[in-house]
Amino acid sequence: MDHFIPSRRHFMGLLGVTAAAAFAPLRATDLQLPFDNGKRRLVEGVEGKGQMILQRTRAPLLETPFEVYDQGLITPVDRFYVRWHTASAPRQIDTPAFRVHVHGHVERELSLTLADISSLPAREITAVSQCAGNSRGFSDPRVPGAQWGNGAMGNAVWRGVSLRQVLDRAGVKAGAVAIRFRGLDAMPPQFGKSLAVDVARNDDVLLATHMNGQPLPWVHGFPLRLVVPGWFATYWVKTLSDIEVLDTEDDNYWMAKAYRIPTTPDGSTTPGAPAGATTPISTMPPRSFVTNLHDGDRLRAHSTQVIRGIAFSGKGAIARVEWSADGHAWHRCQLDSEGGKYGFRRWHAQMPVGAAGQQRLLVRATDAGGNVQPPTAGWNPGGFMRNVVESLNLVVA
Amino acid sequence: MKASLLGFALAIAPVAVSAQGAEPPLPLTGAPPAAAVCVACHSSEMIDYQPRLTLAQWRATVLKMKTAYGAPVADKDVDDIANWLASRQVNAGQAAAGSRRLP
Repeated sequence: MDHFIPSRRHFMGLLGVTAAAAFAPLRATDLQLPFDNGKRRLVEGVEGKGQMILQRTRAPLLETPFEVYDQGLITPVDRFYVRWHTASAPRQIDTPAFRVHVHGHVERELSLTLADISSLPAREITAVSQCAGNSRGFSDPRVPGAQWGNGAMGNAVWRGVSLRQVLDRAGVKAGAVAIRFRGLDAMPPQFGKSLAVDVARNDDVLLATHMNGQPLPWVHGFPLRLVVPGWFATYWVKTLSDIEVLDTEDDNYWMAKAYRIPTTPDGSTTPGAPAGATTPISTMPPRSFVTNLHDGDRLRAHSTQVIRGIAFSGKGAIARVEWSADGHAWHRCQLDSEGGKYGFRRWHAQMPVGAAGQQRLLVRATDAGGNVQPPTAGWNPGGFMRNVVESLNLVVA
Repeated sequence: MKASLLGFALAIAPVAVSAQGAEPPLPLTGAPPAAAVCVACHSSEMIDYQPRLTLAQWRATVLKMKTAYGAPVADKDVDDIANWLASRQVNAGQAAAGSRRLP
C-alpha cells in the first residue's frame, strides 16, 4: 500500500482524548476552481449545510458555490460560507449560563446574560460578510492560506442589538482607544479583534443573535456574534463572550501580526519587495460579479443577452455598475431595488452579442464614496482584499 | 478560566470531527514522525490545497505554526517537516498534472 491511514487515536491523543471518532458518510463530487491545484470536493451535509465547496474539514472552511449568488439577494444560511481558524469553540452552549463580560476601561463592569441582551431594542441590518482572503486562490503570484475562489462572501439579514447600547451601559471612560472582542474559540493565539472606539460606537455595529430570521447556527457563531457592516468579516467575532475597552492600541496577534495589509492607498505592494509598513485590514472596497453567465459560456451570435449580477462595497452604497466588452467603453447597468447600503445590490443589463468568435464581458462597480474597482489586480503577501474588475471570456456561435 | 475553557474545547473535539463528516485519509508517506502534529489542529486539506510553495515558504509556514500557533514542533524537526511538505507537493503535482487547468 502506498499510503497508510494514520491512527486517529494517535492524533486525538495529542488532544488529550482517546475516544475514536465516528465518521459520517458524505455525498461528494469534484469541482475545479479556476486556478492551479484548484480541485475541490462539493459536499452536502457538512455542518448542516446544503451543497458547499469543501476547503477544509477541520477547522471548517466551506465555500459557497457561485451559482447561489444568482438565486437571490439573500444568501441562505445553509449555503453561507464558513470560516474558522480553530476547531476549539464549544458546540454546545449552556445558554442560561452564557455571559458576555464587558470590562476594561469602563465605569461599570458588566456580565450580561442572553436575556439581558435580548431585552434591549433589536434591529435588523442586511449586510455582506466577506472573508478578508476571499478569492485568495487568484493571487498572482500565489500566497499560502485558505485557497478560496470567489465564494467566501454572503449577504444576510442580521438581527441584534446595537453594541453602542451595551457600551453606554458600561460607560466607556475618557481615554479609551479601542474595543477588543473575543469569543469562545480558545486555542492559542486566542482570537481577538479590535475596533477603534468611534467605529464600535456606530449604531450599525450589532451584537447579533439571528441570521435570516434563524438563531445563529454554531458555525456562524451561536449564540452571539459581532456584525460590523462594511468591514471584512475577520472583525465579526463569533461566539462573542468578552468585550474589553482598551486604553492603548491592541497588540494581540490577530491585530498586530495577522490580517494586515500594506499602508499603500490600495493595500497592494510589489511581489518580492521588502516588507514595508502595514496596517490592520478594515473596510471592503467595491466588488461586482456577473452571476448568470460563467467563463466559457456560449452565446448566440447577433442576439441580445440579459446579464445580471451583484455588487457591494463596504465604503459606501453602490452608486453605479457598468459593463464593458473591451475595458474602454463602459455601459450603465440598471440597479435593482435597494437591499440596504451594506448588502448585495443586484443589477442587470441587456448586452448586445456580436459576430461569432470570442466576446469578453467585464463588470465594475463604483460606490457613493467614488471608490471604483481597479482594472488590474493588486497584490499583497496575505492575499487580502482582492477587488479587481472581473472578466469573463464568452464564446459566440 | 482560560485553562478550563481550553480543556472543555479540546474535550469535545471528537464530537466536532464526527459532526463534520469524514476527514480525508492522510497519506503520510515518508513523513517524519514529527509531522503528525500538523493534523492535530487542522485536517490535511490545509496542506494539500496550497499552491506550489517553495521550500522556504514551507519552512516559514512550519515556523509560523510553531511560534504563532504554538504547535509543539522541536527546532530540530522544523527542516524535516518542511522538506517533507515540499517534496510531498512536488510528487502530488506530478501525479495530478493531467488534471490541472489554468484560468
